[in-house]
Amino acid sequence: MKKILYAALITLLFSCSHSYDDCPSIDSQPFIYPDYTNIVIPVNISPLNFKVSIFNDLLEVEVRGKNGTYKYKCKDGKFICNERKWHKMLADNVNDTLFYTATIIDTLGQAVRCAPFWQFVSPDSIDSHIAYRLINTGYVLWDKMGIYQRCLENFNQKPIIENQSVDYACMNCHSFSAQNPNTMLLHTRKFNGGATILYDGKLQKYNTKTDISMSAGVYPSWNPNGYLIAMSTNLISQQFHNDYRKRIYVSDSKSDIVLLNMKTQTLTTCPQLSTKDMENLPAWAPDGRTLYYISAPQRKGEKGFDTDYWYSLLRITYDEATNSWGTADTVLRASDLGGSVTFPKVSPDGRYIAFTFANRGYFTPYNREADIRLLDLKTNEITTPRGINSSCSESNHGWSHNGHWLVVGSKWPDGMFTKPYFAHFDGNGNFSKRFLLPQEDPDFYDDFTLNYNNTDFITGEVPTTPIQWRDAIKADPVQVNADPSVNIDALSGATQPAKK
Amino acid sequence: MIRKPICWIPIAVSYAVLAWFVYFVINPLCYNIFQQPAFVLTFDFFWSKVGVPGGLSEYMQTFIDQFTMFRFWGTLFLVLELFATAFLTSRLVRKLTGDNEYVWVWAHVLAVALMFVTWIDVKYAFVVNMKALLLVAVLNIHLMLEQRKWYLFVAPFVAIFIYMSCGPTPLYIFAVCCGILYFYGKSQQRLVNLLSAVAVSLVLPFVIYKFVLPISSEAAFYKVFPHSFMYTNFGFTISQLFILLFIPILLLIGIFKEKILSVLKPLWAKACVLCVLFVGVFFLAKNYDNPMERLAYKMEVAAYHNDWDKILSYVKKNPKVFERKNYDRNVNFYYCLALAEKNQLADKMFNYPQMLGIDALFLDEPVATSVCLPVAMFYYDLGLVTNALHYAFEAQTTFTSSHYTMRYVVDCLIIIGDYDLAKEFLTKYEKTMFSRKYVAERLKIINGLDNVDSDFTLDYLRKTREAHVVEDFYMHGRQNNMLMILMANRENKVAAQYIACSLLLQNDLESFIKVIKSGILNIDNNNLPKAYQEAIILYLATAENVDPEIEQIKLSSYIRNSFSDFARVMTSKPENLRDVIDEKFPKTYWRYFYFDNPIHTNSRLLAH
Repeated sequence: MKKILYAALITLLFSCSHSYDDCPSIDSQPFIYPDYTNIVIPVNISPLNFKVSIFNDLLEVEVRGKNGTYKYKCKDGKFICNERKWHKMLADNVNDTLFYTATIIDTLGQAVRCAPFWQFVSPDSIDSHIAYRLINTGYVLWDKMGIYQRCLENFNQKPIIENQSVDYACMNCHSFSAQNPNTMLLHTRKFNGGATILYDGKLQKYNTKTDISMSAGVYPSWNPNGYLIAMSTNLISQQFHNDYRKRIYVSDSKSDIVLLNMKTQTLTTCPQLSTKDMENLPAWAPDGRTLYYISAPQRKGEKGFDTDYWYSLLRITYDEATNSWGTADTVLRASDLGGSVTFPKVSPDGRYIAFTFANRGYFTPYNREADIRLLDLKTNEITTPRGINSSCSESNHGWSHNGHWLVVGSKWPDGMFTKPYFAHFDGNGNFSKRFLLPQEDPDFYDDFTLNYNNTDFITGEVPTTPIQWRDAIKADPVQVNADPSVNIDALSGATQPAKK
Repeated sequence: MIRKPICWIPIAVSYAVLAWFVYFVINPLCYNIFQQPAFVLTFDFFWSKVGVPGGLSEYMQTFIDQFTMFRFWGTLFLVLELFATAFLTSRLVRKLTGDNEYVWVWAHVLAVALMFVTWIDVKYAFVVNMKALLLVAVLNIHLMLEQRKWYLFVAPFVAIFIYMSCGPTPLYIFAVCCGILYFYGKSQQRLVNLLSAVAVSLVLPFVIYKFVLPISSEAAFYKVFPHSFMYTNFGFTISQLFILLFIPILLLIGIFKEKILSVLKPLWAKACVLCVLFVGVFFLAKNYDNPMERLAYKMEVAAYHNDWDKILSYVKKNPKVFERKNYDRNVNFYYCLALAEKNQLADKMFNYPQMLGIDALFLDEPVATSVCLPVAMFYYDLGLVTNALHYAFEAQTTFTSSHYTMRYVVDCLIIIGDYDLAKEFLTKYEKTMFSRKYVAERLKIINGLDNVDSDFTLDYLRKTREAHVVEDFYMHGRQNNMLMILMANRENKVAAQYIACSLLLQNDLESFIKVIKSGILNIDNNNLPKAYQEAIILYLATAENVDPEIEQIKLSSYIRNSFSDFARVMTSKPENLRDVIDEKFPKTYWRYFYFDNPIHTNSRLLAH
């Protein structure tokens, strides 16, 4: 009896396995989602699971590399690769190309083998984690949100802090010093407001509003030295478009830049960064001495169409030893470019600046035309890399620690939800075609209606617990000191305190 | 030990009758717009709810909420749920303890009574319901286990379960219940039980807060609901009900247990008690909540279904709404909207005390969670789809699971023509149980199997919207928005009335006269509504340079005479001028113009 059962089982197993080697081939590559065709991938990325479009069914995927061929049976029309096997496959084929041949059921119900697509396994590893905020598509109101970290080598996502533990405060503008997870800043507002900073192994909330700043710090940038933080101070407002494609316009009526020294807990600034123009979005160069930022002329009125409201890219040097600033120097003039420069991010080798270019303003996630451009500081050449842009908004980008990967927040394809895409950078001004943050289930994005805000690379896991963040955020803030050497009268711009 | 058969059948029947009556007959919030959680099936959602103290009961409540939009089947489901819980737990007690603990059965009844008492909003009532039922179920199990010696080891785990499923308050109640048990059945075992329960209730919240979960101190130690919004709005009341009612009544029952049992021996006595409970709950339920808030919810639902007559009939049946002490911003808003839809706004607007002026004619400022859906509905109805979508998105931040929100989002996107995005939301929406028909209809349009013109509203709004879209137009100013709607569709009488009436509410007679003169309102200037005529005659009497064209407008003799009387009273300046005006000219624009406080003195009302 047992023998009969075994025989039946073996017959059943054999009858279930099916080879598609003899299927007819077609010339076109499959339409897969997410689009992982013909891309460069880091050697340490988590499996790039995908599915085919709804009109087809994915049966099998054959991956051919220099060290052999791997066959994956697909279940429910999805290519879902075992993590261990995936990492082995990438390690075996590093610095080489993997060719994927998908067998699908076509619209006529016939099994066909598609033309192969490729993935080049780059030896340039990507930073192990990214940090981002997940939030609903509200413009004024919010409810639950949190700052999360996701390991790129697998699918683990952990909260750094979720707002339900801090009275549902709004939280964002998280930033790290040179992708180092041990130095982090996070703003909270509305409830338990302040800048909570992880510095020197300690979490502490600070009140960064002083007599020499018009508001608490907003958009931050850590100096690579790990203790200087440049921050903008802004008076921000929102306006809503009747044009659905534009939806919302976030703008400032005033803004300046200040510098917080974590060693002395002192806030300083200079007249060059506090002019009547609107200085904003500071970004340190890797040398730690040059601060890039954007600036727009003072606004004429609070309302209006603001189509000429363009930001230029400037830079200024700072000598920490003498606490002295150089002269502001215009790097890119908005009027020359015919648009607005925003979110400058200097590459770790200091040669390139990736910035967002848009028709107007600085807050561009809702500017459909916003694209990432690359400025070569050596040749002053500006390019618009094709691989990382789309017909939707691209902004909030960031460099990996080794400068070989760029993460871009893009609203493609729906124009609504921001998702992180990654692209390889060859160090000579060329980006590969970007790919979407991989998820374990390729259906993940079908009904995921949250936005990935301000995605940034980090080289490891943030070494704190959400409980520690909660306790720090709920504690009373430490007041930072205003630099007594700042000559308030010399500040020509908006930061001058009101006369008492 | 007293051993008597438990009376679970009448108790369970009473559940059924009570729940059916309250939910089906008298509770208008069964179909409240905010209580439609659609996506309770995902694992993430489950953990986001269950991972905090009290989360299990909230999760169960959230799941059950889905059924409340269906007045018949939803209510039936709820009753069955109550019935099943009552039956199973009572049965368990009966089988394993010999039915000697009537006190727990009464606690069970009380738990349900509490649920009804807290029906101020069904969503919160459900939380209480689930907490109470869970607590009672656990207490019953506790009772069962208590008779076994090894229960000493189980007690802390029961306490932990209560804390994580029901939250901190029920944990404290559990400790008190252990005290009650010890009080009327002193034994060493019960003493150990009591001590372990007290120890757990003292230590566990601290341990959870400090070392385990990143939750707020309120959620760990005393918050009734894990969700801050609920606690902010209703937490205090429900805490009171839990602590002030639940524990003392249990104590009383424990003390007078023998007497209660002897009194309740005959069947008629049990029936009487049930009747008293029934009436008591009904009385409490009927008088507990804010009738104006209920009215606003009912209006909200009627407005969603474009049933403007119903809104006006609600107002007609509740003359108290016209009393100033009963003022409610949302009632004011829906009343005005219904009047405008019936083209009666300028005739009857001042029948209602317009205490917030323009801020109750429009709800969009200040932006708050509670106004987003009404405002989305308002702009959708008027045809300003982009603004409707904006507020639907705002609403979605809080009411992520509301099917009303989802429908506005999807319909607005279809009207705008963003089918891909509409499909994303539909994919999410599709996973719910009750909206298959709607999803199928919309998917037909998206997939090209049907046209937008198959749906009258979608087709109409798409056509009017095409006229709205102006490049780089910022939506600011309520009157500007109305003007844009009117320019796109000159037949839009609602927008026309809103423009003119908002100017009246702002006491801006100059602008009002300009609007009348411009002809933009598309009305016969010689047959103007009452409020317009009252405003014009006021303008004629007060303006320095009167426009001759305005002088030609035909005003009714009744209004002319009435205004002469009004002017006489005003110039005579009696001591009780306000009272005289209130008495003689109660529903006039003149009274509003001179006496009703504008927004700056009523700003506190905005908080409601």
